[in-house]
Amino acid sequence: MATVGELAAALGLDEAACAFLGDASVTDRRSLADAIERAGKDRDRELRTAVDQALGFVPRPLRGRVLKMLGGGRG
Amino acid sequence: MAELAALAEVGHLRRELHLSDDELGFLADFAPDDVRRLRIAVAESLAARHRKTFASMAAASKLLPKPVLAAIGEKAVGPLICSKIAAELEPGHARKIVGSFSVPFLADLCRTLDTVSAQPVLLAMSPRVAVPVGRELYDRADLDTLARFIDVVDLELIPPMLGIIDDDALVRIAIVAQSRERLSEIFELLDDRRLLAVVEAAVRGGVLDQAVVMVSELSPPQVTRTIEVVVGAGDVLLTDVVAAVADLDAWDRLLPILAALEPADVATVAASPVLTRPDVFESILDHVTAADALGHLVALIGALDDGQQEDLAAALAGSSPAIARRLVDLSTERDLGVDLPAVAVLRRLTDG
Repeated sequence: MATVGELAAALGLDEAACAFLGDASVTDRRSLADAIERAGKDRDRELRTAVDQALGFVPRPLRGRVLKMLGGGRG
Repeated sequence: MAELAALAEVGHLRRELHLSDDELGFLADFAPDDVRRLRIAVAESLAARHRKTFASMAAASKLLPKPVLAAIGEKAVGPLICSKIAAELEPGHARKIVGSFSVPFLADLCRTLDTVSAQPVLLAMSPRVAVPVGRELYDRADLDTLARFIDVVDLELIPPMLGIIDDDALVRIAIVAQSRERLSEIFELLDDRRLLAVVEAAVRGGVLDQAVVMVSELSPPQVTRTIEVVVGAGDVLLTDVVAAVADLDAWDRLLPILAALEPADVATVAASPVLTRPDVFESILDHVTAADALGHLVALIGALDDGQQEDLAAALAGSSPAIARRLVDLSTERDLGVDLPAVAVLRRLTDG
């Protein structure tokens, strides 16, 4: 992930929005890329936990409907 | 020194990525607009992975009683994910349920709310809910978040917020805020006393240079009013402001406005000792030469009485004869200001 283009592609970012990072050091670009990747994984995990915990608060008669609406949200 | 606006954007990106205050510091050295574009792209990329789920959760929230929603939001889902769901809510539904959440929780949620995609929701917030949240952010000194909100909330929220926010905070919020249009609206709500207090707060807070840039982006009548307020405040503040303009080399924006002030006000500005600093006068000369705007400088000097002009000329000739000579040559070449006592004195002093 040495170039700005590679960073943008790997993280799903708009390359134009990252162009200025060409002036940053490779180390700084790498730390940014790591942080974004880590945040994505954290967000996945937090969302799964949140949905599971939220269902515990949903009144039993509504739980089936809510679960159906969330579809693959627990994945 | 990194600009406040860039630091604010880096802080927002850190919150989005769950990072501590010492990470990604290198970004503060880049232009605020660049960091902002990056921050928006990162938030968009992260949100896109789960947008379908956020939208489903927003839809499911319509099935649930408000107390249950508040419990789910505050005890299970948390402010960050709730901020993403909030951006997917229908404004009318958001307005109905927002009052169920505690003010501290809503303030937490605001820290990661995308104010662009969530603007319809924000505009639907009543002052009864939004003002206490603004106060909570202010009490936490979270001025960056407050600035993002002031950019997009309904204008009716601004007067009560101006009553809460002190002058030191207001100048920082104004510098960080992105919307020049909103800034212009806020400006119109400030009376001269408050405007002066905000300028003084900028001096006190060491952000006068950034405040000058911010003011220079307002409309010409608003810039004029600011200068008049500063001129009316006395020499000390005026000297600080003129020095900041000089350091920024912002004469292209300021000289035309100065030249159009009341003659007495122009004279007060022209008499500022900062103007005789060789570097300052040279930057003005560079500007009027490049912009073919010698008339603005002539108007500035011409506002001084004969004695003041002679003092100005003597100071300038003494500190920097080459610059003084340039003014004389320029005046002769453009046939403008040749009759000014200051130019006559300069001609005599530099010829000798």
